[in-house]
Amino acid sequence: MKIAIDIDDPAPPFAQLIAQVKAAVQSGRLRPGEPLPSIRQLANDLALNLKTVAKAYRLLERDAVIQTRGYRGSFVHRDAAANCRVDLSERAYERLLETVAELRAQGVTDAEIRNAFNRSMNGGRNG
Amino acid sequence: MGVTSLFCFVFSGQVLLISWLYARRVIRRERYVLQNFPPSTHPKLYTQPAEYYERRVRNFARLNGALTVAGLSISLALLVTLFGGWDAAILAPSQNRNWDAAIVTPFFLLQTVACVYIDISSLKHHRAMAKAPPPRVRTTELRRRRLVDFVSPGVLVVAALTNVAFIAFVLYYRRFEFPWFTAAGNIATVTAMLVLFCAVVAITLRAPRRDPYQAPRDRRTLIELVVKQALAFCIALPVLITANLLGKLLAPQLLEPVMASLFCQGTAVALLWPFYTYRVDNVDFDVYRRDERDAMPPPAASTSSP
Repeated sequence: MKIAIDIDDPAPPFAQLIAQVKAAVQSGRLRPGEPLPSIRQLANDLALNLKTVAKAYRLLERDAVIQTRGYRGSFVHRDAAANCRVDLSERAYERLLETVAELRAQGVTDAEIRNAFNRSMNGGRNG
Repeated sequence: MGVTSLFCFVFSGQVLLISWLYARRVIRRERYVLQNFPPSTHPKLYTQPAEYYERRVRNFARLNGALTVAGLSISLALLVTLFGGWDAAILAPSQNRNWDAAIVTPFFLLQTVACVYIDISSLKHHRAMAKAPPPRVRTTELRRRRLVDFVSPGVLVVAALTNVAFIAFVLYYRRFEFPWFTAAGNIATVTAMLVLFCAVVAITLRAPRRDPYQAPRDRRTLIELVVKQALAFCIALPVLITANLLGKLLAPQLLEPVMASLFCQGTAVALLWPFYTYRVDNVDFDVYRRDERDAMPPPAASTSSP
């Protein structure tokens, strides 16, 4: 199965990689249990930074699309096809949208919401 | 008389096999690429001026042509001294027949140097190609490269068994107590070659691509060739050494030059056969055409890393 990364594409390479792996899983070109190339192999072949590919693999693993079995490498998750349909970033966006609407209804200003969001992202610290 | 004629015949085979047949195939392949995919239409294929590539092929052709003429001349000289009945010449059959050390091995080394000349002379090109900017759109196969993707597990088992059988044979051979034979030396030689070729395979499977434009299918083909070459050598080397040792045990000493030449030919076939069969007309040369996007500076917003 071929994979192509367009450096001029507005989407960053790791996002292109994730999208193509998920598309391959959903179309059946990548089957559950199928081995994936190592991070180093893929980074070398695509002339990408190791961290870029590692980030894509980490996010795919978080979404349970792939699983890493220690030194044996990464494989397509057995429930990958179902898990591909779950978009965690979209879910996070929807949850935030609900929260923001609720806070606005309570009279909290946008600046206060932004500050609160930044504080929560910084682990409770101001700034 | 018979032995000399046989030696001339076998040695001529060695000359023609390596310096003519294989060299001719390489020269044709190189010229085909230069003529059909010139720098004007496929600029990404070349990192040096066209003259660099033409000179390389020309030197390779001259080197192998000279070796072919020299090798056939040696065979002819041997036959002339034999049938002419001249006994004073260095190559006279009645003189010392240690032709394997005097002719076969040095000539084989020269042939090897001539064969690898085309690779050694490409180092500058390969270094420049490795530094070439990667294309804006990069493609590869989303599959793990494993040894068994390129050769069947059965052949790997055959290679392992061949080497185990070779060690057993060498240990058995010790009982003949030849002064020139050391079991440890033979085992160490074969083991060193095995380690070397395993390292070559491991590096080939994992190394970054030397040519950033090469199509994934072509890269796979080249990796397959290297793996097949390594495996063929791992099987051929113990078999050839075993045949050589058996020959020394069973055949008269007079046949040693013939066996040495056959050994060299066997080694050459194992090493060169995969690259002899390589078809350059299946290579995707379109990836080396000029791409307008590559000439443009990258947009400020785009990055290759997150």
